[in-house]
Amino acid sequence: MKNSDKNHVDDSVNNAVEENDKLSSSRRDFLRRSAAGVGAAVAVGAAGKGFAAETADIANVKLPSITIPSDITDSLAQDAKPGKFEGRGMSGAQVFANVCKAENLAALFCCPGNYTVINALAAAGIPSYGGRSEGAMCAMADGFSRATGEVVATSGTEGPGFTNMIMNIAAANAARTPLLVLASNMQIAGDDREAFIQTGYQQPTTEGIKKYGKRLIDPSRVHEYGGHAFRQLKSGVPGPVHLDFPAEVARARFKDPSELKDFYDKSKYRTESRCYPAPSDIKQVVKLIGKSKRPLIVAGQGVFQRKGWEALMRVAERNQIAVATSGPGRGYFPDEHPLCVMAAPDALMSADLVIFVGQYCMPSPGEYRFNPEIKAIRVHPVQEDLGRNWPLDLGVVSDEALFLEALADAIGRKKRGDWVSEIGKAKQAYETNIEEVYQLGLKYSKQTNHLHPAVIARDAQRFLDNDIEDRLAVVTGAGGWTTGLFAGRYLRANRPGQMIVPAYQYGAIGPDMSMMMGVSAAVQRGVGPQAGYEGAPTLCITSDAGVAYSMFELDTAAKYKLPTITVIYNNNAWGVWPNAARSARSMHMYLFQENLRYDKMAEGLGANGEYVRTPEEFRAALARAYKLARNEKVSSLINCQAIKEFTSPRDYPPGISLNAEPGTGAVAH
Amino acid sequence: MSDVARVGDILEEYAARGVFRGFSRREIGKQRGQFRVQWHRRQLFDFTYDGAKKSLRIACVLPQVPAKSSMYKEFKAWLKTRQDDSLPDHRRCDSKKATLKSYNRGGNIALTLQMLDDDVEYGVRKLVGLVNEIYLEFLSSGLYFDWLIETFDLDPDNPY
Repeated sequence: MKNSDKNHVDDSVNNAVEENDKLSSSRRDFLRRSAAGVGAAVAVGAAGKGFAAETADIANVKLPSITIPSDITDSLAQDAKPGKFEGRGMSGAQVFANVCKAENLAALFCCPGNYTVINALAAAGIPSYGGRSEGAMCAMADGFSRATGEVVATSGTEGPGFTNMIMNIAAANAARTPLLVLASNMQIAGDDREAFIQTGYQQPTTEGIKKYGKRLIDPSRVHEYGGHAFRQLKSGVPGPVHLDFPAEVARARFKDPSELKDFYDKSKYRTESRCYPAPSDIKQVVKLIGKSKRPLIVAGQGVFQRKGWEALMRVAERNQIAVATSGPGRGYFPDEHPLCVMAAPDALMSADLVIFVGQYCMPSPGEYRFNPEIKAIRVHPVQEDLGRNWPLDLGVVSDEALFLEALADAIGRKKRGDWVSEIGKAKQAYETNIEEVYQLGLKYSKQTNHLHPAVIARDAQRFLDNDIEDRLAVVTGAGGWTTGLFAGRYLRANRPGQMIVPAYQYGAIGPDMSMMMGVSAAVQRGVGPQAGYEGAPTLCITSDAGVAYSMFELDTAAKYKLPTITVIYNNNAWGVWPNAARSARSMHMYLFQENLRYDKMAEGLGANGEYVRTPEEFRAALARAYKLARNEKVSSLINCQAIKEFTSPRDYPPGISLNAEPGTGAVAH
Repeated sequence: MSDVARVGDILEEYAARGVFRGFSRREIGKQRGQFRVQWHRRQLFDFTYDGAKKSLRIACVLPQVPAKSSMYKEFKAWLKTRQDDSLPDHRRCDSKKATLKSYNRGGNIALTLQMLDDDVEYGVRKLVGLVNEIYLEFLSSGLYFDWLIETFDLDPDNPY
């Protein structure tokens, strides 16, 4: 960072501190405490103190502070105690938990319920997180996986807890997330009797939003079905696996391995063998690339999940092939690479050959910004999917990473100067375009004293690029309708797992904030591509509509010291409000109260709240939030006051627009 | 093979490759052919090839664009850029080989490509490419988002 920039940031922070001091005594108290390091009391291992003051003076009434009780920190410090056959034996839940441990299940995100199973998983040593709503915890699990590629689990109680997860199971299914959905069920003995509460049939409820599901019936097969689950989660195209545990299975006891059917380890119930591309297929791919003047690889999430990014780089650089990534994660081919076309939509239209590798969710022609002459190769691990949606010139059955490695070995070196130059010009044109929109956003922000979404997005990325110690450290994600479309254009990803796309394919508004907390758990634990970035905060840009689904999980973030920064574009409305513009009696359904104080709510949940209306205030708040997150593991919510009319092309041109796919702001495929 | 048949075969090839979602052809004598394709936003586009004039015309490439609207003005300006020398060869419609003209009839924009040599294939492929760019590039501006939703009666959550 330049010294002048540093001074700018510091000055901004100081100015904002002074302004805020005038505005709010509680804010002044917070800043004073923060400066004095009181907030450090929440550092790992320091139980008993929360982020807020020890006492808060509201209307002259002394209130107890928000604290993290020692019950939580003591519990987190406990050693794992996996189940054993000796002594009382193992419950069915413990047998299953041991399968999960042996399979390196990366984490569990849940709410209480399904007690026998979640307690067994925690005891087995699976990193476990408990939160405030099953839906949000399911989204956290999904976010964790989107940033790591690892298998994760989520759980809720039968009935209401499980059904609360449905939207987020569906989102995970659309994103092909390897998500293990666990939910208890009532006793089999109570089937069809509506005994007490919460009875229901789970498997039909997840029909169409899972890869595999099973209600366990026979206790002696609990280990066997653990094998079924992980075979599905770790083979082929991943997706949610839903197991429900009736009490007769979860609580059954086993004192000897002989009581369990198919009790053998993962080396027997599944294989690590992968499908290698046929040499004749590789030869044809090389030939088609050789004939192409402007080849393009669309590297889907299969490349990320199979950790094929180094082979991808080798292929691209050897033959100067352009690359776009697709799917719910970004960064495994760096945006800043000269061959990356993520921020070069005009170059997409020039490609004459596309090679889809690991593109699980296939677009149809016309959905991607390609020309009608483009030839297509698709590489996919499952033969049955080849040719779906997009007619192919060549289909190749192969594991994604193995294909890229084979291609890297087979393909010759080639310089494509014209193509690289065209990509460079397209990038420059796109940069010019989004800078113009940013400048308009600055103008509109000044005119209205409210923050435009382009300003929020660009200034956030500039902060990450210029004002922190490691610009690769912070993982970002953007949700919401307006914010998702704007932020996608400005946020950049330059390492594997540096960005997730919360709305990917399913288009859910709301899970983004929770997803980013799941990402934060992955970062703090240094899982997979997040290794080396432990301690870094995550940044979520979302909307006032979306935040309502996840906001209470700020309590969860505080409890587990997951440093998240959430930026809310508060335009007092659902982003789709223009759909009521010609329906006078409808508009009320699209609007909220104006000037809601989400920042105050965040403070009430143990986080730092910021309320901003100008670009200067936003930049200063972001700097404070980052410092708190980095140094004290405290989450922040920055409430950016906006107006809904910013998305109206008549009032504030150019309004809102869809982003090119594939590309930086893609959400569909 | 006649030029009419040739034009039909080239267009049919796009349908066979999944670019068009539907295709039909009708040859009217040796000089004239009509071809209907279903394509972007599930619209039907009627291509007419006139061998005597060596022209390929789409009667309505964009509907409901008033002749005096800023959108039509911007469309004409954008169309002009498609023949700009600054574009690479593979993106440019070469003004030595074809001219492009748009007409507005009651709000329907018609587009005509006039071939200046005997390279029928060049003309057909350039016009198809041009329509594709109209829908994927020209209409991607936020200025036309509401127009897209209203004109094609799309769900704003799924405007394809």
